[in-house]
Order: sequence, then C-alpha cells, then structure tokens
Amino acid sequence: MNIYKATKLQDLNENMDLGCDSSESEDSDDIVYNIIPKSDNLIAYNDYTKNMKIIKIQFSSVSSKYFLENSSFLNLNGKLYISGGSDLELS
Amino acid sequence: MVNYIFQEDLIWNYPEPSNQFLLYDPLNDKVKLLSPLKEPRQNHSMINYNDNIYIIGGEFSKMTEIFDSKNLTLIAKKNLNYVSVDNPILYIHKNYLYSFFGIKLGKFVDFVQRVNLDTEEMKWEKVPFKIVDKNLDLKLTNSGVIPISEKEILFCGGKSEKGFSNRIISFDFESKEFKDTSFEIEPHYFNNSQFYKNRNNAYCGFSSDSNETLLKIIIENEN
Repeated sequence: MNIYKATKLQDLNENMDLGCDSSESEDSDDIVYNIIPKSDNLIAYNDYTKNMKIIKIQFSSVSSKYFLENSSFLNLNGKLYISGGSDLELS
Repeated sequence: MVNYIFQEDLIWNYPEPSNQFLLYDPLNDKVKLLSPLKEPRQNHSMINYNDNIYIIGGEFSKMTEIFDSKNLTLIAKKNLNYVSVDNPILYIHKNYLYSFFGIKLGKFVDFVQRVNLDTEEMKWEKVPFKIVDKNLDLKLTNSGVIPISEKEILFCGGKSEKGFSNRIISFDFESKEFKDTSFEIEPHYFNNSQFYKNRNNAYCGFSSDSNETLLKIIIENEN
C-alpha cells in the first residue's frame, strides 16, 4: 500500500540565499526550475543539497523582459524550456 | 489589441497569445530565444518524450508542435479530432500521449483524449473511462502528475470550478479507472511537475496567486 505525503518546502522569502550550485548535484535532474510569471525570477531547488533560492534572470535583448503569464515551462536535461504565454504588451 | 469571443450570450476577452519560445541554460545563466512557435498560444502544456518536447493545447490551437531538444528543430503537425482545451494535463504511457481534462469555452471539462506517437498523423481519439468513486470531480486543470507504477498515475491537487483541489486521484491505464485515494494535500495547483522514476518521491512546482513555493510529494510503499 502506498502512502502519500505532501510537504511544502520552506518559504522562499526566508530562504533566498541558501545557495543552489549545480556542481554539487549528482546529475542535472536534481535541480528543478520554476518560473515566476510576470517577473524575471526563477525558483531553483536542488534535490541533492536540499537548497532553494530565487535566481534573477538576464533575458535576451530581443525577448520579453519577464516570464509571461499563462506560459508553459518544462525542465529537461538540466535546462528550462518556456513557451508562449499571454503577451499583455500586445493586448 | 483585445480579442473578443462570442458564443451565444457568452462574451469575454482574452490577451494576445505569444509565439515566444525560450531556453534557460544555467551554465551561462541566460535566457535565449529558440525558434518561435508556429502557432502563438497561451494556457497550453508541454511534455517531454525521448528528448522531444510536445507543445499542446491552448483553447484555440489547431496544431501540436514538437521540438527536438537535441537538434533544436521545431515542427508542427495538425491535430485531427482533438478538442483543444486550455491547460490540458499531459502524460505519456506506452507511446500514447494522453491529454486529460482542461477548460473549453470557460468551462472545466473532464474528457480524456490520446494520440499514438508511433503514427505520423496526430490523430486523436477520446478515451472512455470509469469513475469508481461517486462524486469524484475530474473537471480539473493544473494537477501535479506523478507515476506510482508502470500502469498508474496520481493527479495531485489542481484547479477546479470550486477552487483549488486537495484531492489525490489515481488513474489506472489498464482498467481506465479513476479512483479517489484517501489522501489529501493542502489545496494547491501546479504549473509544473517533475518526478523521478527511480525514486519513490516527486517534486512539483507550485504557484498560487498569493505565494510562490514548491511542494514536495513523497510516495512511500508500506511494504
């Protein structure tokens, strides 16, 4: 029989500088990235070190300057792919 | 520009969808542009299969886009028989890509669709299913999806017409049965799930209007 447990990881507001160095990981899938829509920030969580932090991102000069709302994202091979979204600047 | 959708007495506006496709590489800590999507979309979903990223949904989408993450190429295939929805929950089982539930014309829907990825066409079919437990609400989006065996997955939380869900629902691909587990989570919806097949735990990205954090879901086998 399976038992399911859900744990909310520590609030980021209190743990912004815990460190999340990919070189400390066993493999690239240890790190989970999550975008924060309408911002230029990512949440990174390292499953190996159990560290979590917010990363401020530099965008390409020709892309949006923030992550769009209603976009979709996917972690794959240690990289993060982000597609589409609601472009409020065009609306 | 604001677009308006008219259907009988239902009128709403929606923002312009974007065709932007980005890659964040932590090695250089930058976001760069990939080939733009063939079809601008929002409220869609993505899933990985053999290093190909399938981009599906967005209510007004007509195509499935497939990005080869090794060769950095993007192709689009027209969907046949697919009812395109906002925020479909995607999963791949035995070469079939499943699209669970979603939102259509502002209403949550509970149908299940699938397509055989071994075929050239994206010819979708509806999947009949059984609901074991009465009152089980399958009209969901944004559930965290976690496999617990070769034939069974869990839907954790999500958004429903009633708000955020606290349910953990199982689906068996062989019997096509949905069951309500007796376990609950704090009401959450997920904008991303990441799981580890070789470990009995999973991490789901979580986002809400009021907070941004991560929820860790652990599956333990009592045996």
